Amino acid sequence: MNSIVILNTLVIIAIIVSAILTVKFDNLLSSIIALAVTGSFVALEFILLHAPDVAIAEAAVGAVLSPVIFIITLKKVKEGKER
Amino acid sequence: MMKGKNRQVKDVIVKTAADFFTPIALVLGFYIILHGHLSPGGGFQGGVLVASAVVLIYLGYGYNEVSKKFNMEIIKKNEALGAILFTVFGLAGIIYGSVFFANVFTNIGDVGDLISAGTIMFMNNSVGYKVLTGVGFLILLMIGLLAPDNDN
Repeated sequence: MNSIVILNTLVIIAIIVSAILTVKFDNLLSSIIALAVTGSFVALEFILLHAPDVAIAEAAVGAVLSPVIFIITLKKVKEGKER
Repeated sequence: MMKGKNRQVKDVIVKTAADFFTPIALVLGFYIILHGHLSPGGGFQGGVLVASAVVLIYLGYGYNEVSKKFNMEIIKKNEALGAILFTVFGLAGIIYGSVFFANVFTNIGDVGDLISAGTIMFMNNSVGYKVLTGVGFLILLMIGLLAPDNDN
């Protein structure tokens, strides 16, 4: 079997596992971090499929921007609960 | 006592990492915006990369430093300026070419040069400017919502 195919399979398995963990985690912060991991692996998969253009956007949005916005929202919601 | 010391060490590590990675994010983002018509990437990707530098500065130095460096009103007006520039370069297609968004002035420069692809390059740059100001404004809004009364 080609080595690229093996790498592709591993990355797809990692995407599926981290996506399931995103739903299954009870702690919301762990869930957000699993979402960021999913975004990073999706960016890697886009590079393997020869789409570096989409990979840059996915790495910037999926791994940095949306987790930061989710973490800020989570902290704000917790502040509101304590009040 | 011990807790305060740990906090100090963590601050130094996070601040040094922010100092190290902010110039890299800025240079790579502006490179991707400028070379949008030649290499993978374009206005949106580079703009988001540049805007993520704001997050790095916030992580290293806190909200007060960020709000000192960036003026929200000017950023909001600059986002509209990006949209206006994009429309003006689209209208140049009507005036000098055939239809809206037609690519004109394509005979300037050789293939592969930085200034080579007609108005496509300038449209790309204005999209990058709009995205970096827009996403930067969004991030500034979110972190300002989080810590206006917090001292750090």
